Amino acid sequence: MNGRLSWPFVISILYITVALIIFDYVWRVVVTPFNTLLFYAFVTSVALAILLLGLTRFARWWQRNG
Amino acid sequence: MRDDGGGRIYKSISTSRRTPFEILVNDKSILAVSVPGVSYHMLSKGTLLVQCAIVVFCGVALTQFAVNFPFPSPLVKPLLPPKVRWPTEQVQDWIESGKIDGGFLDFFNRDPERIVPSGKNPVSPADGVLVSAGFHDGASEFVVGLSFWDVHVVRTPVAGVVKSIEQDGSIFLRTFAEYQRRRQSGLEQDVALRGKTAPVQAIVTLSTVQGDVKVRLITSYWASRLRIWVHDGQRLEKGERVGRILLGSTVVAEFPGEVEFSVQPSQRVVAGETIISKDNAFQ
Repeated sequence: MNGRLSWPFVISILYITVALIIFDYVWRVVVTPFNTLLFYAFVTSVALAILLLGLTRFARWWQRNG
Repeated sequence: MRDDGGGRIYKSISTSRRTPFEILVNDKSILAVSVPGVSYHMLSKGTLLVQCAIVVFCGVALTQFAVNFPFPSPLVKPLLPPKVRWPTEQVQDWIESGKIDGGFLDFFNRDPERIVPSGKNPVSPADGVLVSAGFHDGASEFVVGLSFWDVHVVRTPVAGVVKSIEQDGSIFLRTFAEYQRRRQSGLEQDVALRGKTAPVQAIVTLSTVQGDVKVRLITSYWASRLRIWVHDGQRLEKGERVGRILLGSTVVAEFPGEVEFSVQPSQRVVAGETIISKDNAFQ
């Protein structure tokens, strides 16, 4: 601990908040049925998580071997 | 005075000896917290401030989202163009194709209990925004506009006995094309509501000691569906359910004589809960 909050904690909260704001906006603009939008939101979140995880792994591999 | 081991001297600014930690500051305004038994914890002032600002913003945003749901959060509301609050084309497509999503209908048909205030003051007949309130032609009108996200169950503004239930307009019409054909051939007449056409409506008249109070449920020609859950002669208490509008938009309460409303136009009202007048003579 360095006398500040953990960055992963802050970023996680920020991610959840921004995702909710975007979800709230998109739901009202496209007027898609809630279940359908929830499904697409889930798919998008999983895809984004996989992408971030992949980039992190690639960056570590690049540091070691590149 | 403390030394952090790196040559930096800190001065204690803690005022209480009972606190389990000590706040320190050095001449470069770098803060530190000394916790007994634990090493120094350096605080970068800028980083911590940025982090706290982010967390506070997120906390406020999430609270606003939760408190305002299902209505748009104040952060989103200014970004929404006015028309999307009632997606007319989408509703028209749903009605004409007969394919309305079940999940959406579950949400739309919600019917929460309401805590009706005691006393004889009239309450709002519907959830929504007050469009207008005023005295015209011997009656006081209280017009509530319902948005896509409001509960569409209509309630009695005052207690009374159901005197009559009238229906105007094409209750059973399903398509806009048919509505237009009937209107052009003179079979269909719109019912005017002070500048707004109200093609389909049901009027529930309640007999009270102050005179007849009317509750008008108005829907569009696309939806053309209303449900009335009361019958002639039924005694209703204030805030009881009268019926439901299916994808409709307006509810009007008409009171005999001049009623001084305590709600201003554009103010949000809740069916059966929001007191709309200080006049407590209704029973």
